[in-house]
Amino acid sequence: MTSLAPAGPLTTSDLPAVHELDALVFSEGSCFEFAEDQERDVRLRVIRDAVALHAERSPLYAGLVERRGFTVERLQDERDLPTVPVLPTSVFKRTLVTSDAGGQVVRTFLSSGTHGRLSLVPRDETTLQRLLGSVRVGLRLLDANEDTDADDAQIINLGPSRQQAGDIWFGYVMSLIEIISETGHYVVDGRLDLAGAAAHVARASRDVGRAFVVGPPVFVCALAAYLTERRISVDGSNITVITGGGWKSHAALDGPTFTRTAITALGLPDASCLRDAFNQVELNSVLMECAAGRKHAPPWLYPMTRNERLEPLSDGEPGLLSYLDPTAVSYPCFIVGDDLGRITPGRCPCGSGGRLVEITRRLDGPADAGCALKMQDRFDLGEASP
Amino acid sequence: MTTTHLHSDQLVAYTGDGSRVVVWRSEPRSTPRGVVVLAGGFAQRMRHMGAIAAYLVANGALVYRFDPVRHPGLSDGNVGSFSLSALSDSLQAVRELAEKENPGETPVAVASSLAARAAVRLATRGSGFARLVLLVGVVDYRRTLAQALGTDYSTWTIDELPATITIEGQVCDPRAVWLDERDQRWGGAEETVIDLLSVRVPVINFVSVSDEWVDAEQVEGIFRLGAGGERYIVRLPEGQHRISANPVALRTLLRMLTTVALCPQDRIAEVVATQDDLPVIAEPGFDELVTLTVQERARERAEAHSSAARSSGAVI
Repeated sequence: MTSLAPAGPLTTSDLPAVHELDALVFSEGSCFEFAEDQERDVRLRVIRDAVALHAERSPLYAGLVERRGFTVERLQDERDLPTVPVLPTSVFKRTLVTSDAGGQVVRTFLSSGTHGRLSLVPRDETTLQRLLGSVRVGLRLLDANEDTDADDAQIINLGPSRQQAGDIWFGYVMSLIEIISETGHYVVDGRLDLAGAAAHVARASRDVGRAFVVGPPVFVCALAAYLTERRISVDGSNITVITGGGWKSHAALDGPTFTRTAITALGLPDASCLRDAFNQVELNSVLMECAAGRKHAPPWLYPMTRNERLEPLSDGEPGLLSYLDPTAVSYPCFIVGDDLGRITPGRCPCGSGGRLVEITRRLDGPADAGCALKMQDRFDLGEASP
Repeated sequence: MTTTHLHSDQLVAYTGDGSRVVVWRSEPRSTPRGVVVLAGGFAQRMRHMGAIAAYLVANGALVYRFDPVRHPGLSDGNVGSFSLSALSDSLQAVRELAEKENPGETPVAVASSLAARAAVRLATRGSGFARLVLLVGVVDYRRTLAQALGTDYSTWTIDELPATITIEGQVCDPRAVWLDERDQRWGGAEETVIDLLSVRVPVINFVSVSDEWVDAEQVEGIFRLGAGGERYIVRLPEGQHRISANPVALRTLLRMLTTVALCPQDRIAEVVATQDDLPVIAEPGFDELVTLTVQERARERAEAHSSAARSSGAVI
């Protein structure tokens, strides 16, 4: 037998530790399975780190923090999180809010609004990677294969490819699902190719183990109508529909009608095969609906509601939805937006963790606009956050 | 349109028994700084190694990666009859192809997981790797298999083995694995130490401290005993065996891996020791890596369909 005497040197070293937030965002297990107190503790820690980072790096946010007299040391308990100063999303329409000091931003994304000023949100590599991690975490609520490339699955994206989406956030985020599996993109040069999408759906329903139809509800409805009108029969027992992008562009479309239409045309087994996802350009995490129809914030994200004076409300109270999202590095993602909703108290019956967000509607009427303006005024006056 | 800077030509290498090994060769834009043979672990196809290839090529390496025979992917054979020797034979075939195409250049092996064990064995034969850069490199084949399978089948008799075993979602014949382990003496820690003592080139292993399949402390012990040449261990403070699951951590790792794979040999020790002061390297961006993943998956699928059509005699 060969001698086991050492004959050469051994040098060892350690790479830097991975931040707790990255360990969470990219964990291989389901981070929705934390116990409630464990989830609260880790969320507090990662948000506290993020607030400290942006208070240091973002001049605009540092100014807000200073005006509020806020210090990170205040964050001792989850009940302290509502005291974190937040930026109305309208600020992103007026100025480039950034925490980037070293030219790390790789792309500045635009909101997809068709009127008014657009939000501008700069993102660097880490911020984008974490967004993608959040998409993957959300897909776990669908029991989807979280491996990077399931061979036996196909995706029908009723949206543009990443290349065609360019800097428009909504299309870009939806297109990222192509990382999961082979994807057909059916908005080309701004036009929805219903014939191509319908053919792909019919083919995927026969040929692969799992298929996902992804798109805004209005496009899913258009696809359903196309299938119905042309009597294209689909056995959708392997299909999950993921919607996103809100309901605002199709006033006639209500939830129950949409569900009935999609189930019938796509041959879906039941409503649990329809899942809505939520994100907005200023938010860097995706909230996915579970089988029980509840939108789960990933465990690092702290959603809450606020009144029109931006004062925090208790869970269960309807108000403006506001988020503390620690995943953004290139801008402070502590925001209050234009959506009305509430936080559903307690744990979801599906068993998964994460705070539960119910989105009611977007501010869009004259009264709402007044509310939004008031909100903006208060921010300008430095009164926005307690 | 987002483009990827990594372009790959498809080549074929042949193992000793004539099996086809499909190879993707990626060239840097300028004169290569070195030649790398990149080998994925079990169930990792060459397209799964795209990010590592992109880093290496962006920094001047000419990279050959491949799907082993009797393994998922484009090469000959079915994973049902997988063996570590089949992986080793494939690696050897690609190394020979790289040497043939680049006379005078000795390739560096960058090998992940199980492929690391094969690379160590090949290096004992003096068969021409300039250094071995191992990523969560397996050093105790029996233990890793036992961890992956929940049972150490090497202690069973061949007649007791189940009809099939499932590793990383792939259904394999345990007899092929069992016989190969016995006949080729892949063994446990002791066999790796014996092999390493004959390996004169530098060996660098990146290990995760919480790897469920490769015990970091055991790696250190084996590397101390098997120090037939320079040995380096770079520990990743967190992360499991699938390091690629965390792209933020992977980025840090790939900076280091790229540097140690391509730097002059007399600088390896300095690079490992002073990792905070790594030279600036070219890094592929988020969009580029996403595009690469999507494009290479589509390419593999197209090649597989094309190959299936050829096999069935269809006109394509």
